[in-house]
Amino acid sequence: MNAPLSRTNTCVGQAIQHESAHLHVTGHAHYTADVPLPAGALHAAIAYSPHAHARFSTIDCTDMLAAPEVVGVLTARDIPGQNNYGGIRPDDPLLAETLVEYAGQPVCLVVADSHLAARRAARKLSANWQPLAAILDIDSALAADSFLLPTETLVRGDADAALAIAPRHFSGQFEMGGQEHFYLEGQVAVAIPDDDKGVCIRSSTQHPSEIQHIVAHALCLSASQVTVQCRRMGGAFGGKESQAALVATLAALAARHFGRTVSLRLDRDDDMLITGKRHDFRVRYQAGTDAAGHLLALDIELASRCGYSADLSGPVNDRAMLHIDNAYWLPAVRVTSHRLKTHTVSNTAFRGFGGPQGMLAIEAVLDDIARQLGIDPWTVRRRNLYQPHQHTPYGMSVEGAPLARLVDTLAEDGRYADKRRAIDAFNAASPYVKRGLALTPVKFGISFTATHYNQAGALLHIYTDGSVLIHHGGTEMGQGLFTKIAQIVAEELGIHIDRVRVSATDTAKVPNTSATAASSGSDLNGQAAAAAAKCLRSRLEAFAATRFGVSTDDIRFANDDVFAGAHVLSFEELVKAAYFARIQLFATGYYATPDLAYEKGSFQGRPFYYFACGAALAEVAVDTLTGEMRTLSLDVLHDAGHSLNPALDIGQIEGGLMQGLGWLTMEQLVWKNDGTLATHAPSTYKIPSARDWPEASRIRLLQHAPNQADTIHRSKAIGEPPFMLGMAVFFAVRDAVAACASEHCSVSLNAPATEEAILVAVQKARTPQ
Amino acid sequence: MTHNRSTVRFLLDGKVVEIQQWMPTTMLLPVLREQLGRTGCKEGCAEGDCGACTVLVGREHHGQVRYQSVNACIRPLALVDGCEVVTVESLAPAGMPLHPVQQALIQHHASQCGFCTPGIAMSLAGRYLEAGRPDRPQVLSCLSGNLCRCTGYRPIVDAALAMDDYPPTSHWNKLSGCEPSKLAAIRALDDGTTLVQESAGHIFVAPRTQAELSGWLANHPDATLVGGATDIGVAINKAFFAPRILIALLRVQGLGEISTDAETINIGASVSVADAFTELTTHYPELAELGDRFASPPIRHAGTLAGNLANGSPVGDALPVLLALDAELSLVSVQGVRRIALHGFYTGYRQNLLRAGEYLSAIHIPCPRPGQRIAAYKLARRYDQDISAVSIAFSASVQDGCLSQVRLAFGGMAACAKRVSELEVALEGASLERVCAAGIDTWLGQALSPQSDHRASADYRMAAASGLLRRALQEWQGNDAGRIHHLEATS
Repeated sequence: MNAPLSRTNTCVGQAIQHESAHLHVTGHAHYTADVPLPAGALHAAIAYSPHAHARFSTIDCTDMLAAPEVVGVLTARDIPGQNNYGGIRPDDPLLAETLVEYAGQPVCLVVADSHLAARRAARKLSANWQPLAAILDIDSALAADSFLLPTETLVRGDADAALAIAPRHFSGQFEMGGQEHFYLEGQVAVAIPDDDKGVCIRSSTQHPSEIQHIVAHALCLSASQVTVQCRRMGGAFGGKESQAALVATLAALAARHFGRTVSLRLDRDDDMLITGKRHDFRVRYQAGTDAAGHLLALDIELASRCGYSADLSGPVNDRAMLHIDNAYWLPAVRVTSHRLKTHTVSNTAFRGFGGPQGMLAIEAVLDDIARQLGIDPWTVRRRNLYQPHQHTPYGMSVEGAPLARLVDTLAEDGRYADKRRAIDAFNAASPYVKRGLALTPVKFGISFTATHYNQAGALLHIYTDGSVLIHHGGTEMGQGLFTKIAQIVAEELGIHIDRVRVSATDTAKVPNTSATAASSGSDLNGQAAAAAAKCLRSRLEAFAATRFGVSTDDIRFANDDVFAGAHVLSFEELVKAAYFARIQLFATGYYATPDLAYEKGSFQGRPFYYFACGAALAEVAVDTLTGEMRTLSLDVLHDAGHSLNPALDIGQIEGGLMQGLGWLTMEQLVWKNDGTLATHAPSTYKIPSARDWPEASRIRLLQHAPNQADTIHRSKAIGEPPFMLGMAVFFAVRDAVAACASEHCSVSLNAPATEEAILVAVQKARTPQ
Repeated sequence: MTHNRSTVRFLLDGKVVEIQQWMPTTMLLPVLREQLGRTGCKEGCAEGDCGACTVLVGREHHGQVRYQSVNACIRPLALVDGCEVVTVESLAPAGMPLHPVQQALIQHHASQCGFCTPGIAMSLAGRYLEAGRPDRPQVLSCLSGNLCRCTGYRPIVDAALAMDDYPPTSHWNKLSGCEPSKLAAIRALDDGTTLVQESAGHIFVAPRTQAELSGWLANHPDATLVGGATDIGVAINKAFFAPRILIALLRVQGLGEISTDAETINIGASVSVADAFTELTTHYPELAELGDRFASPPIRHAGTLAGNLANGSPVGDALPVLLALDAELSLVSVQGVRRIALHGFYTGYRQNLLRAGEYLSAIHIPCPRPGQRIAAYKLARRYDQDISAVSIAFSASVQDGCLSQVRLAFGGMAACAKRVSELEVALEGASLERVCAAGIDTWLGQALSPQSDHRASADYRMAAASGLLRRALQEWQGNDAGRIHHLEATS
């Protein structure tokens, strides 16, 4: 049954507060490390490799075992089953056996009576290291043919032929850095041994089911013997999709070994050294256009640093390729994607999942083209914007993506043309400070490209007091999923949201769940929860129809009441009556996204159910004496379809944009020459702080824009797409740098646009080429 | 002769908490979380950079109780002895309405994952307890020590601007600091004894008098002195630094004073960075920006100006400016007091002239002279709460466009903060216009030898140092070079 395109909802669509807001502000929200541990609980810490690449044959545990409070040290030999936490390819050892391939790779697990004692002892790791040559960056990996996965290509048309006949030619190289998730709550898990060899794990994870399976394989258990629970995370952003399994499985291993509850909580520095980050990319391209800047041909090569293991690098790079078009028509295109193996931490999922890297690449290409042609970049972007009848390079229609409406409304409301004139005048009169402006669109494909992940389940209980408990497969990481689920259930049952409690995610309640990732949380779990609620409502309707002798069509659930013809009773009264009439008051719901047609690696078909879109207009100022930059204003128009909760969606937009701004301006991962990470704490790795959000910000949702795809209440996914709005800030910085140039030339500015990178770019711009 | 005790005593929600089992390196945060059940205090970084552990510490100040935010993760437990501690759970005790700060945060949708929220609530609560409602710059300053990774901070800032619109509660309102019972309770904690702890060969002591302090130092010349522990606390958490003897200055009588006469501003060794800069900017308003960008409020409340100087990091924010202002130091030992210039105090990377058994008791800064101008800029990746890549302090008398009594100091450009005497001499008597044309870069290149690190390359440091000096010269000529942080968006 298709959801209506017009809105009639009472609870869904309201700006309802986060279901845990009152717990957040009082400090009473329990995160994994906040639940008191039982007496006798132990604490673990990871001892990790100091070398980027080395062999070893023996670990000397003497010093670790001799340290105060230490009860034991576990190595790979203590793992009864599979020594792996790689979800796709089994190449991620929980504990290294004879080879380490990044500085920070776990080698053994120290277990002690206290967190501090375990951490302290873990520093005393000693092994007979035989260091090997390490490949650390993209250039050296390419030079050494160090490919982790096969190179993939996506082709439409004949890019070579189109390049040959294009009137204007461009080529260039562009680099973008990685990014640390910096979830405020570090990785943590508590494993509690169960009887009959079972184990229950409280984990801060986006993917409980995957942990369940990895723990089962590592400990030679069946999945049914392993329970994984997560009430909430203190942020995740993709960093707890695959990476949480390491911490959870090691905790489970120790719990099994010692028969006691074990807590493993990573200190911030350890977390940043041990766990994966966003992939950094190097882009090389050749493009052909006409004189007006219309793209006629694009041959583009993406090379990404995947780190030492596969992890999610395959699908991350696939998504980068599938987003090389962003919002633009590419008539003839070849995308080549190299997935490089390096002796660095295994890069992983991070909000956008490769999409941002692909989209930033095409935006950089268009920026170069515009600068060299001497045309305003926004004009070039607008000229290349998709028209509704066109198809992506992989053959999917863009008809449902309201791109032109978004960007034209934003350009108009944000007064792009006026600002452009004012800024040009300011820059002409200002020798040291330059302003810059940019408007960039976002089009992001919604669905897991691994099609089988696009399913979800829910289990709904109605208790005899009329209270409602919903279990579903999604996890709460701050995005407000639980709030939206509660709204959806309340809406279906016509009850106040306060009656609905959302349960902690629990593999014992809803099985075989997908990761809460790919922005899919409310799309998938919302539908499953709605299905369960509809099922129970139908049962209650049938019961009420019989009881009151009316047709089910005459029964209505609203405002905690049930109207059956002329009879009115409270929801609670109906539920109680149904119970006494022996009506089943719990039900499951299930959802699988329809209409997907995509085979992994084919780069052809319909990998996405729909596109979520947005656009941002940013103004920045750059100090050309120092390279410092500041964001002066942000105007955003974003398409959330019929928003399930505008307050939460605005929160996702602002937070995503800010994270994208951080990635592209200030967040810089620096590795030393020996392959150790130099920036492993907030003192050295800077994420945006309050002042980095400009006072002049106007963040709006596109109104009257129901999703053309039949999603839950015609909403659109909101988790990842806004991240790419941050691109506007980066290209506004390039615009300010361009104001220093006396001729039409590209701006040599890679991401992140740090003060140093900006100053170098300014100096280059001022040097005639 | 004072008596000793080893039990740490502090107030929490009106009750006296006594901690007997502790080590000199025990921090407040794990005690709150693990022993007192205050799990609202979160560990996000354990180095005072994220603010998730922020609590308020109340101490007597001018006859009232002053509550200030500090980072519990790097606050040694022993340094809250004799204080009141306020956690997020204190704001709305069971059965009481939510505090205005909490209501505002909820109403403005200011939490997402919620992990940073308790710390943010406490930073804002600290501001809320002060008189008056904060404006936007004050809110941004107040929040500069709190990181949030979920929101774009906009709703948090909106909540802060609105928190004074909510009806005050009987708990923690603007009059809380004036309540005689609170002051009496804090005073009652102090029985005049000296807190001393010996644990597994490590000693902590918080002397009460300068004589007592000198005595301890004479007996233990290798002791580590600690002010607010904002640096040592990080070393303890991250590198397991375990000094054999740790001597706290916080409770030493006479070291917490600020006194200013016609010529000199005198700042005692245990005066916080926050209070020191409040005094300095009274006399040198040009230092307001630097004071606001110096770490974050919780760090400024805990850390001391003397600690910043004695620590002597080449990127210490106070060093260039105090060098340029011709600050002097009083160094005290059982042998007596000597007063030396800060210029020349540093002998190498974190090396200085302090002798064994000697401590820095006060900093003396000349009051401004007529016609004196100063410029102090800091360059860092992030405007707030970041360590400088380069900083500059430039002081001179400017008359008829000519410079005299030139002082020019840099941080981040050598193994220690230093004055560039060669360039000072070259600039002496020069006209501002002529200086602009002169070969600043050549002078700087000869005098400075910065290193490359994860913050910046040596080349960038040189270029930026030159840029900062040119910015100062431009501004002194009345040509506002245009600070990006003063710009408004194009309307």
